[in-house]
Amino acid sequence: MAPKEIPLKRNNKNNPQIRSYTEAIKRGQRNVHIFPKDGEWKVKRIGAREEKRYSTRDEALSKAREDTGQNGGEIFIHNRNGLIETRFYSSDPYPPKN
Amino acid sequence: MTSILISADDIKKDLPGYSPERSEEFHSESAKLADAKLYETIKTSKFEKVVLLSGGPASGKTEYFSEYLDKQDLIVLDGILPTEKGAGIKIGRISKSKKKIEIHAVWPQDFKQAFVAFLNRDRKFSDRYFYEKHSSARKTLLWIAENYPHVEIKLIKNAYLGEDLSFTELKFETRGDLLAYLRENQYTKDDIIKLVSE
Repeated sequence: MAPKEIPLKRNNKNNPQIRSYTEAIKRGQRNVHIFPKDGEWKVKRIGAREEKRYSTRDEALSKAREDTGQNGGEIFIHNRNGLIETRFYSSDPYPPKN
Repeated sequence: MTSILISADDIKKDLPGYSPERSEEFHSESAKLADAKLYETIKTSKFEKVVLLSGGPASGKTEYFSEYLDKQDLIVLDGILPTEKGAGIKIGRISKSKKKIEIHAVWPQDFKQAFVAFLNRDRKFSDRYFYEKHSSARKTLLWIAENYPHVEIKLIKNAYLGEDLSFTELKFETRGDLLAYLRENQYTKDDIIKLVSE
């Protein structure tokens, strides 16, 4: 039988531990991830439906920089196994080479 | 009332050479020290109940503790419980002390949410660590549920909604229902990688 879901009342809306966690999520929502997929490069944010595909990694990187926008953020490049190969700030003047 | 929190992440901060970027290097040592502190505390504390937290990285365990367990007379180990061997040793030692034991497992509503939080907090671990520990924490929880019928298990889901966290307890009619649920919600490392990246 499926469980009953009992919401637990939040006692402290200003809980600093929770605030720190939610701030980490908000920072993370600015980040862009690049995945190799079916011979192309997929650019997306984790949790977002939208994704764009490009035929080269350089194009994907260019799009990723554009997507992190003026607020900056990190770019994560994943390998074929889905693991992170490298991460860097979009403002980094020395991006990793292919 | 204030619970006694034993946390490998807190212990790390006092280790020579530690910095948040090197958290993974210090994890094994800090986990051993946390275990030692747990065993010492169960000998010396008058508190009668021990809660072992369970759940992968950034699942919201510490946040759950701070909101719901902090102001009670509990001994709480804030950890992942990633291995059957480690869990078995802890349950054995706590049982010998005659203190009551509960497992509170905190699972993220969505692995993606936890992954995003994991990548962006100060303590840095490899993403491999994220996938492996989420998988092994669930596996160990199922093993505990199957092998320790006297150990109460609470399952808490943590969701990020409206820029805040909400927690929900899943209540099961029977232990059998809990076991079935845990079995249905096991994930390998590769399962989680796929869920996060799609």
